[in-house]
Amino acid sequence: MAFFLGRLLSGFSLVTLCPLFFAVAAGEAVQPFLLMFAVSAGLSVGLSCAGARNVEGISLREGIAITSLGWLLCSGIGAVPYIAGGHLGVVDGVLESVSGFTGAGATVITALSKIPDNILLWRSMTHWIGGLGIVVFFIALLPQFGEGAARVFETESGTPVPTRARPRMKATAQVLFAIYLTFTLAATAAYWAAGMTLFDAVNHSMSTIATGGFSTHDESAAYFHSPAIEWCMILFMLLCSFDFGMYIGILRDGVKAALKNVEMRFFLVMLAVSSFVLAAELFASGMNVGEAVRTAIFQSTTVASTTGFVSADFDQWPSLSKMCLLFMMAVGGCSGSTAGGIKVIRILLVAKLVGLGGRRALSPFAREEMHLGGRTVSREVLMGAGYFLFAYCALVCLWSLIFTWDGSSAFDSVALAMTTMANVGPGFGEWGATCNYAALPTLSKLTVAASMLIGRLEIFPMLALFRPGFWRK
Amino acid sequence: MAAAVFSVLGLSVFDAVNLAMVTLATGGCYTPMTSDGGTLFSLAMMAVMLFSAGNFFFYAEVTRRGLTVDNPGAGEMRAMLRLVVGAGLLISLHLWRSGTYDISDSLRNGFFAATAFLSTTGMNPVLLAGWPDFDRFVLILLIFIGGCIASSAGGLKILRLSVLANASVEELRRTLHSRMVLRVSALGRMVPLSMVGQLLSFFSLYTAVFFGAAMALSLAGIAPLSAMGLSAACLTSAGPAALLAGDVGVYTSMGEGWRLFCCALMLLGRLEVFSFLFVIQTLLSRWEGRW
Repeated sequence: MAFFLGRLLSGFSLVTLCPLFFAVAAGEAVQPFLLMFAVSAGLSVGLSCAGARNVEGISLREGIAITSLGWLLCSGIGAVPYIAGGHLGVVDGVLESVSGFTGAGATVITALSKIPDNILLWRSMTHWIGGLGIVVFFIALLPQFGEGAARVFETESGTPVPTRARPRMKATAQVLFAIYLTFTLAATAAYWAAGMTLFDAVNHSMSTIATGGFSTHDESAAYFHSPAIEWCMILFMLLCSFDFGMYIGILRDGVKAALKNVEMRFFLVMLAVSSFVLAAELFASGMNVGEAVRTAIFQSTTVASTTGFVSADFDQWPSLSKMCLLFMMAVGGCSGSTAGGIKVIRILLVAKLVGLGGRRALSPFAREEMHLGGRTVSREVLMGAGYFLFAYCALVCLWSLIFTWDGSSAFDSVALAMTTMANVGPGFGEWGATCNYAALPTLSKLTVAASMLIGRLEIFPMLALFRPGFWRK
Repeated sequence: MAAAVFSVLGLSVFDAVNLAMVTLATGGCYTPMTSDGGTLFSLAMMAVMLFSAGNFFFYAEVTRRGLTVDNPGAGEMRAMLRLVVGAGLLISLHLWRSGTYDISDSLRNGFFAATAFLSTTGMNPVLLAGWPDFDRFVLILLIFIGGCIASSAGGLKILRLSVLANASVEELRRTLHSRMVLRVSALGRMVPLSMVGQLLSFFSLYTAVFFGAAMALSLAGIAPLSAMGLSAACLTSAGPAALLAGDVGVYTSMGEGWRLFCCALMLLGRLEVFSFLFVIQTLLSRWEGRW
């Protein structure tokens, strides 16, 4: 396990060289990034030497430990530039880093205009590395990850109905990475063409494709006042809310692979309904039709894809619009995407579970086979989705309790719990669209960081670390 | 008995009889239902509310065989008492820490509110208007939990939540041992997996109805938190709890259509969601049959 973690950190160390080179080229301070590189490389060497060189025979337990500890280590090391550069304190730095890697995109930085470009680039890079999954990212890029990587891959992807696009895990990770990179380059080109500077385009493309939400401006997407940029963002946020495995299917079988995807169809229906409701309410409140439609689609997509860009202050919108956004926030995107949330597939599975429960109540001994999207679904998978929903609700209640204890109002706390569990970023009220997390009390900041990590790793793998028997041989 | 106790403690016979009926049925707001009537009166009301939130089969077993360890409802009763004590202490501590009351009033009000809301009875909301958000949020969570099964209380019920919590912990273990056969027990009893599946269905449907109803109510222009509070209050049959959200005029400001919607929600909650849907499903299938 230690060897595997050491390998992960060796890859991470190489990535930290990018902002270092950028800082050198831009003539900005390099010390924070040198320190991050030194810490990462030092830990990598230490762990690689300490662990046995066995990456084939990784057990499920080790897979979970590697994924969870990998996320914790990278988030911790990723905070070094913020802290060493004197931009943030320790807790704030860790929260910014966790928010970056998990793709939450909530920031504690109050004035982004005062932050050097290399730090802004590093923030966006944390999104990009975490978006596909830290472990998947390095499995795709680095040699020497054997089939033991499958354990780690499945733990990190956390889909209720696992699929593997290629027979070998490394090949799957590489194809996913190629799609990810293509989308990023396409988004950069589109944003640049639509009027962003190259620096903004690169940062926002990394943020969009990872469904993160960090911007280089305090006003987020609203800064650009550009319908063209907003439509480009909508397109790429939407593309990244779908199952990346579907794109492999499209490359293999054509568009019919996408049309058959029941999860994507349901997601689009939800998005359409939400956009319609929001547009109708915005139009009724006096906005012109074109702007109302664009703003509604943008905000629905940014929340449903769990990106969290802001083009309008949705905190001032009518009650139904807020509830719609809250619902989309909780559901999130499709499984196998870079989006967070409960995931559409689980909502469909839970609906099947409810239907089955209703029929079982009438005919307790009836046996029936459940199907979803043409595939048979076992009772374990259905119940797994139910357990996930229960754990999700329980954690939202627990986080909300902590936030209200710490002084937040009740609705703001519930929204904060839901937005951090789904890795969206902006919530409502004090922590809403035009605000940031800088004013959160320390206990709440630590809770927010925990919520983001637990939400990103789909609850159970991270919680498993805290079981008393987990670390016993 | 409850009416007699209330009468002895100073209520008029009329008020005592009414209050006894309301409290035993975990009905809701009735004018004297505050913790202001003195410590003895508060304790008497808490005892009656706790009794009505308890498992009635447990009482039947106690009258038949006395207080025995193997009473099937004993585990749930113990869990309920632990919940009341835990929530009461938490609320009291926070009320005292936030300077809302002195220590004795914090304890009296904290424990009274915890009992009133866990039993889904509710209490006079005027008192709660000045409470911090944390305490009101705890009370909203308590009405979701509700009392024991086979009680007059609403909510999801302690036994169900206990089974689901234990099953989720087992699922967590299965994350580590993927081929492990789940064995779920709750409050000292084994629970078959088919039952756990049914409970997961119930919980999912309950959550969906709660959120769907809150969204529908927000159409009436009610603020999101008030809509959630109202939805929770109707589903759990804890009427005054809607006012926990802080919008004291929420019931009176709604149109008649929305009040009818709330009535349907209350029925849905009282009939435990599935049963109500069966009635609708049966009516619809008959109606379709005529076409």
